[in-house]
Amino acid sequence: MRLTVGTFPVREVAFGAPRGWRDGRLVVDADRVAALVREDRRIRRVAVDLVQPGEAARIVQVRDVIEPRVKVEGPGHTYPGICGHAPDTVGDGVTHRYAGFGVLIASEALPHIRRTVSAATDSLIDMSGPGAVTVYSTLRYVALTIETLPDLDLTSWNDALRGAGHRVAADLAELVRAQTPPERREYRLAPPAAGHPRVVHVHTLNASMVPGIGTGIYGYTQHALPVLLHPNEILDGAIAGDAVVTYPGKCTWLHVNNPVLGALYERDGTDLAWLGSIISRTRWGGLDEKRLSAYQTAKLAAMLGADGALVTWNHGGNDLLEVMMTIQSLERAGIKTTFLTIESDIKVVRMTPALAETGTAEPSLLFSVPEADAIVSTGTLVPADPLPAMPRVIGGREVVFDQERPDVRTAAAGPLDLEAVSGAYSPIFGHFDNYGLGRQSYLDY
Amino acid sequence: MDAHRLRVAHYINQFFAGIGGEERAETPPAVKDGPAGPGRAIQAALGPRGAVVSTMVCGDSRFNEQIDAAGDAVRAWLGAQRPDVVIAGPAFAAGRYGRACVEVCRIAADLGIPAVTGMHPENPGLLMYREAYVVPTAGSAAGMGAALGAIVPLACKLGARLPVGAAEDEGYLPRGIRRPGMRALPGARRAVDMLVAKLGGKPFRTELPVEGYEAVAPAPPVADLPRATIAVVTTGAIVPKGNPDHLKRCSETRWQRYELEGRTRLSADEFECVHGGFYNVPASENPNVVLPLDALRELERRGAFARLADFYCTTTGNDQRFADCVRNGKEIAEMLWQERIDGVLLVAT
Amino acid sequence: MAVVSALPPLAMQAGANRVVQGVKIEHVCGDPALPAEEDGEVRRRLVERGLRALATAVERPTLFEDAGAAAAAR
Repeated sequence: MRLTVGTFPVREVAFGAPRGWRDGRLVVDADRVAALVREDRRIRRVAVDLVQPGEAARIVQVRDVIEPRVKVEGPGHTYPGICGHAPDTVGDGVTHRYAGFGVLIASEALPHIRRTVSAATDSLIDMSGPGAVTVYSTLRYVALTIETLPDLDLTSWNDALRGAGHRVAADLAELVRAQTPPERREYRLAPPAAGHPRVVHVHTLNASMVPGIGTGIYGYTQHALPVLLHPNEILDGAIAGDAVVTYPGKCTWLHVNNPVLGALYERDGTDLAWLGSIISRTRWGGLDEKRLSAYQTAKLAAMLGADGALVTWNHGGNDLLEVMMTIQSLERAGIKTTFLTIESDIKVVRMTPALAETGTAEPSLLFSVPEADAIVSTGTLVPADPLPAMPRVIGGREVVFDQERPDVRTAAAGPLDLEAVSGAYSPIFGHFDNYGLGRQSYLDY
Repeated sequence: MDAHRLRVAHYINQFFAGIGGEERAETPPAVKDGPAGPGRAIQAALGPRGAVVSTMVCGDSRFNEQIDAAGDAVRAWLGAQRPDVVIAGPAFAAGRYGRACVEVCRIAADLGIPAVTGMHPENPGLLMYREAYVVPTAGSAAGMGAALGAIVPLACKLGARLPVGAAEDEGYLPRGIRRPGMRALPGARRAVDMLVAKLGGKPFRTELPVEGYEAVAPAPPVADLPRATIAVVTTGAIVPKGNPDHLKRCSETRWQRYELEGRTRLSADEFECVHGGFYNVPASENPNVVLPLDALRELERRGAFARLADFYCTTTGNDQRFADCVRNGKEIAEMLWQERIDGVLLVAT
Repeated sequence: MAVVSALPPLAMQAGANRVVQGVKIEHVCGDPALPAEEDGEVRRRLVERGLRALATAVERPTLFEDAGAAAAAR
């Protein structure tokens, strides 16, 4: 597989005409975007807003961010297998994308769905100030604040929102199909050379325990045995999130911008031979299922001839069991591992730097195996101060911090002392840097 | 103006004091002015920065077997000397010496005096007190030079009350305290680097030393089960339908007690599961699958045990703070103790 | 105290000394896929094992297996 990705950096977004990208400036037709969203009759209303980093703005009720990417040459459709896109294998040919830009879907959970979709709180992104701690505070957005019909069931709601986001993303990506990208990069795995250690990327991926939603591989969301993907498939959007649960590691934008892919490609053919990405689902409900996934992952890696494995995960609680079992199985099969992980996992999300210090009494990980001896920690992303009031709010007017108290609504524009309002779970969208975009970590003292 | 010259107090065992080996391990604690044994090398390394003003010597067996008296002696010594910093050992692989050194550090910390020691990373003394500043050393005194090379600068920092950097920078063993900090490269890059190093047999340092939970001493068994009172507790967030007390789906800090009022099973009309960490519909449709009341009543009826407590406790075991879990556990245990419960079944989801 | 958990390795690592293997996270003490009576039997056996664990001396985290089922399988 050989994929050339052409990148169109976005340094400015504006409403206007004619629509198109030129020299870093993307001009968007707001009415056209709104019409695209409203093609689905399940959607009652949409507001289309432009949001940029550095603004005194807060986006709330974030459901997903999608980076527009379009297949220019080669088989298949970017973000295959969802929204009616063909399930043809992707990762070959030419794909064009925008950098620094995303289509953001904002929509408050319907009351009857609220309990099912979100374990924690409604999410937010601050584009400036102490709350701007994640990569999502650095992107430019066409933000779609969507109101659906009130009686949709979970899968319909997800379908409507996700479809709207992808329709808009595809339409925007189409703008650059025929243009020459200012940046081009070719992605192909070098034939493994003698003397280079063979490495697999074990990309463990949370699957939803709620049927019908969750991150999907070619749209397949259910728990399943591990599958081997070429990294280019991931670059073409083969792993995509739903528009439902604002789980920290579940954002469609993040999967196509997974820094582990770039970091492995950087070294492939130089001092390692990258064999591919094994995607193992996590969050199985039964212990034997977790074991099965771990054993099959290690077997697959061994059959590929792996010497080493870079293991990542995207959070959860019980997920960590099969992740650790996978590390153990790999090591026992003679495959050396490193584990890239967030720090606070599921014990607690530290809301303030003062709380961010962990003490001697508690173990750093909920569950561990002795074989996990090479760990890279991406720490935790916490604001240094309470969040200030914001003059501009997109996505909704209020935020619910406790799903069991949907009647308790906090003004989104106001100052927010996260510890006080949320009581231990961060509402900041993407507050876990699962794949190591940043340099933040934890140090021992 | 001269910086304040640090007053260093040094603790060593009978061997390093030149008194003798194992046969002198019962040597009682004694204090002498100035440095002794490796203290002389410490003094030389300190140079103008400070001086070893006092040395305590104690036999390893004596210290460990009469730890209270030894502790009193250490306290008296430090109280009289009022040093800026204490150096204990280094103990290398000697287990009793290691324990003594760590205890000296703990006592010093109690008195508000910074302290540092050194020993092999597998010295059992490390298990006694995690917060000590311990420089990792070789297994034998052949590593004395290297050990002091890290111990003395750290002691100077501690003694001068300067901020002490991260363990990996200052050369001490992790003490279980972790703080956010920035590293030179993004995490993804560091993960690949670490893997390549590990595969190439090159040294690497894990950023997260894996540690276990504290062991819990097992309670004695229920002596007479047919005469016992049993209670049931669950972290599965089983609550009266409507969740009147608003137990949170996630990050709950409290626990609840609910009366069973003689019920023989939980029905979906009256109870539900509000746990946000798993698909809770099956548990809401039949709460007995998480709180097995029907089975417990059946077994009570059959005489497997005498009495089921007529209430249950619940919290939401999902993204809870460790400190809250500890406190909840203590409170529930205390309450069950008051209720004269003999045994508890805890159902975890 | 005896813990019934779908994930004994986690419970035991956290320090639970008497542990019984539950069915699944979503339904630790039963199996809604089974007819009601069989589901009830699964539940009863689990609780019985938990009681047996309570009455057994242990020195460290111990998983209490289903002695009855293991014997039947033989």
